[in-house]
Amino acid sequence: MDERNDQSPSPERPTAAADSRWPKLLGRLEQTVRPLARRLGLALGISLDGNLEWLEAHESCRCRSLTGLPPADSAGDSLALVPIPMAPEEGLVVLCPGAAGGPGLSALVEIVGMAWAEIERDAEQESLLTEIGACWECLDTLFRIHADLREIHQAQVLLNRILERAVTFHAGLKAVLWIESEGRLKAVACRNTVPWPDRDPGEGLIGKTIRNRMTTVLNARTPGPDSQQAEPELSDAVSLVIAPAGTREALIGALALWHDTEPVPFDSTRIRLIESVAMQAAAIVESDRFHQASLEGERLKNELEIGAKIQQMLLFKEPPQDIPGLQIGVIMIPSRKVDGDFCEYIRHSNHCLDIAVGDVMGKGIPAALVGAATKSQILRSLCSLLAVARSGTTPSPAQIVNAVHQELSERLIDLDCFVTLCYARIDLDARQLDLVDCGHTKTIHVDAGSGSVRMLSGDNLPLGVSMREVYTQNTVPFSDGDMIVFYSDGITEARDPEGAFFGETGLARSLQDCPCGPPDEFIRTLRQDLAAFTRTEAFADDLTCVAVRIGGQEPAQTSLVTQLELSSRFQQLGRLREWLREVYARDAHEDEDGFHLLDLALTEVFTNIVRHACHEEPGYLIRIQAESRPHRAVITVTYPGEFFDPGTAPPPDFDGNREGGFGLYIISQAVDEVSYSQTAQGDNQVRLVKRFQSIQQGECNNGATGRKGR
Amino acid sequence: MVQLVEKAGDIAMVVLSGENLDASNEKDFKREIRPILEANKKVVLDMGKLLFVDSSGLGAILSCLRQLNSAGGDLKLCEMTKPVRTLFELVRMHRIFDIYNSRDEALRAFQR
Repeated sequence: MDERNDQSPSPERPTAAADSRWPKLLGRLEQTVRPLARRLGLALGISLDGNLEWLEAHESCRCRSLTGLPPADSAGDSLALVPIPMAPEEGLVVLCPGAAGGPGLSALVEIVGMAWAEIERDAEQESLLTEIGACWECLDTLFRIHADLREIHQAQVLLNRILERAVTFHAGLKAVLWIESEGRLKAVACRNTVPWPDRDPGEGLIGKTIRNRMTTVLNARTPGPDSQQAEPELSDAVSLVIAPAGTREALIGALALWHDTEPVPFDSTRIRLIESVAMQAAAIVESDRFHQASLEGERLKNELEIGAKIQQMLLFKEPPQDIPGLQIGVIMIPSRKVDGDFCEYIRHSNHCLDIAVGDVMGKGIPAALVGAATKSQILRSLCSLLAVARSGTTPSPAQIVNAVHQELSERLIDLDCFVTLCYARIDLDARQLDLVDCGHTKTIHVDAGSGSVRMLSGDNLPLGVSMREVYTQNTVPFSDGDMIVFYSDGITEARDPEGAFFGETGLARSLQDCPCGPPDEFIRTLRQDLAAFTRTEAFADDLTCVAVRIGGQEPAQTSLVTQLELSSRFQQLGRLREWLREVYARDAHEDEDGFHLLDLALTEVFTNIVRHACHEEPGYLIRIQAESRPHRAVITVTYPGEFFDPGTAPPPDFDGNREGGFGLYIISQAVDEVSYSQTAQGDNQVRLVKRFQSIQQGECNNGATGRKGR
Repeated sequence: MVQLVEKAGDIAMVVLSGENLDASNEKDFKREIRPILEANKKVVLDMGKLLFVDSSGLGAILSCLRQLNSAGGDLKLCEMTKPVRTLFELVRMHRIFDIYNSRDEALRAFQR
C-alpha cells in the first residue's frame, strides 16, 4: 500500500478551518471558559494553526489571525501567548492580556487543555468506529465471496458475483475485470458498464497497473481526457481504483472500479479490499484454466481408452481354434496410439475359413471407426450374397470384396480415407488359398516341403481409391505343414533406432527360425525378434500378424551337429572347406552366395587362429563344430593358444595401402553373428551364425501392387 | 599356379591356374609371380579359374599391384568369378583394382 500510485491530497490532515474538532472546542469553551474569563476581567482568544477566535475580548483585539494581532491591547498591556501543553502539535494557544501569570490564567489554560484532550479522544473514538465499520464491511464482502466459492462451480458466475459484491460499498460504482489471454486483455466480467472490447495489455492506466503490479488510486479527479492516457471507460471517472490481479503462475490482469459522478472515499481499508477481491478473481480464473486443461487431458485419455476398447471389442476377434487341420496363432500389439488395424474370421464350415486382415489409413478414433465399419460391411455383404446364393454355395472372396467395395468405397472416398485389405479363404477340401489383395502387405506362404517362402500379392487398389476398381482373386495351392502369414505394415515398417525397417526380410528370418513348430511359436519368435530389432516394447504402430498352419503339428526338426578336428596348418584349409560344403550341401545349393560368405568367414577364422593364436606352428588342434538347422548354420571353432581380442585389431584400410587387416572385417560382414569367448577349460572359441536365404519372391500375378503409401 | 601364357607387346598375360587363393598357397603365388612382375611393367591377371580368394589371397594380389605401381607399371584383373568379385566388393577393392570382364578388354585398356 505504501507504494500505491496515490495521487490524492492527504485525507488525514484537513486544515484547521475544516477540522471538525475546532467548532466543538469553541462550543465547549464558550460554555465553561468564557464566563470565567469575563468574571476575571480577562481578554481571551484561542488559536489553532494561526486561526484566531476571540472568546472574551475587548473591542481593540477582535482580529481573526495571529499575524493580524496588534502588539498591545487597548490598556497598553502586551498579549501573552500561552501554549496548551496537551496539544502542542496543533499549535493551540491561549491569548491573555498582560496580567499573565496570575492564578486565574493558569486555571484557564488547564481548562482549555482538558477540553481539547476530551475532544481529541472523542474524535479518535469516532474514527475508530468508522474504521471498524469499514473493516466489518470488507470482511463481510470477503466472507460472501468465499461462501460463493464453495457453492458456485462455474468460474464465470463466480467472477460476476465477485464484481457484484465489489461495487456494493458505494452506489453507482462501475467495475470491469480484465484478464490477459493470448496476448490480449479481455474484459472477463463487467458490472454497471457495457462489456469493453479486447485491448493491448501494455496501454493506458490499466496497462500501467499491470506492468508495475501496483494499485492505481485517483480520488477527486478532474474527469476528461488527460495526460494519464486513461482508457475510454475511465475518462469520465471522478474517482477510480485499479488493482492488479496476478498469481504466482504469471496470470495477469486488473480489476478496475470507478465512479463517474461522485468522489468515492477509496481509503486504505477499501483499497485493500479491492486488492483482495482482484487477487481472488485472478485465483478463480487460474484455477479454472487448470481445471479446463485437466479436463482436456482427461478427454484425450478417454478418447484413447475408447479407441483401445473399439479396437479390442470391434476390430479384433479371437481366432477359431477348433477347426480340424488348422492351427492359428495371432500377435496383436496395440501401439500407444489407436490404429486402424482390424481382422475378422468367418467360418463357413469345418473345412473352410475366411480371414480378413485390414488396415485403415490414419490413426485415432476415426480410423478405428472406419475399421469397425469395414468389418461390419464385410459381414453385411456376405449375408446379402448368401441370401441370394444357390443353396450349398458360398460366395467367393472376390464376390464378397466387390460387394463391400460397392457399398463402402464411395463413402470412403467422401471421407478421404482408404482401407487396405487382404481377404483370404483357406479351403481345406480344395487344398487351396483364395486371396483378394486390396493393396495390403504381401501374404507369406511358407512351403513346408521345400522350406521356401513365397510372398503373395495381387495388384488391386485399396478400398476407397477408385469406384471403377474390379477386385480379382488369386488361388495358391497348399499342402500339409504349410504356413500362411497375414500381417499389417506395422510389422514390416517397425524401425530400429537407426531408422532401418524390419521389412519382409526380417519377417522371413523370424519364419525360418521356427519353420515347423506351431504358429504360436513363430508368433513368440516374431515378437522377440521385433523387440530385439526395434530395441523397444512400445511400438509406434499396431502390430498385427495372423499365422495359420495347415495340418496338425509336426515334430520339430532336431538340429544336426557335425564335428571336425584339424591341425593348425594353412594346408588344412582345403579340407575345412570341403567338409563345410558337405555339412551345408542343401543350403549351399539354395543359397550359393550365402554359403560362400560363410565359407569365407570360416576360412578367415581358421587362418587367423593358425597365424595369430598358434603362430603358424603345426602342433595345435583346432576343433570345428557345425550345427545344421533349417536355413541356418551355427559354427563353433575351439582352439588353444593365445586369446584373440577383436577390439585390439586395427580397422581395415580400404585404400589399398595395406595388404592385410581385412580378415576380421570380412568375418563381421559375411555372417549374421560372430562372438569371441573363452571356455571354462581355458580354450578360446569363435562362434559364427549364418542365416541362409530361401525367399523366392513369387507374385500371384504381374503388375504393380496397390500398396498404400503412408 | 601362375602361368605366363602370352605377351601382347609389353603386356604380360598371366593365368592363375588354381581354384583357391588363400593362406595355404598365397606364398607360392607370390613366389611364382615375382619373376613375372620383375620382368614386366604391364600385367593382366586372368582370374577365370579362381573360385575362392580370402583376405590372404587378396593381400597377395594387392602386393602385386603395389609392386607394379611403384615401378611405374600397372596390374589389371579380368574374368573374375562371382564369389571372388563378392570378396573384392566386400572390402571395396573393386575401387582400387581395374577389373575387366575379358582378357581383350583388359589388354585394350592397356593399349589405350
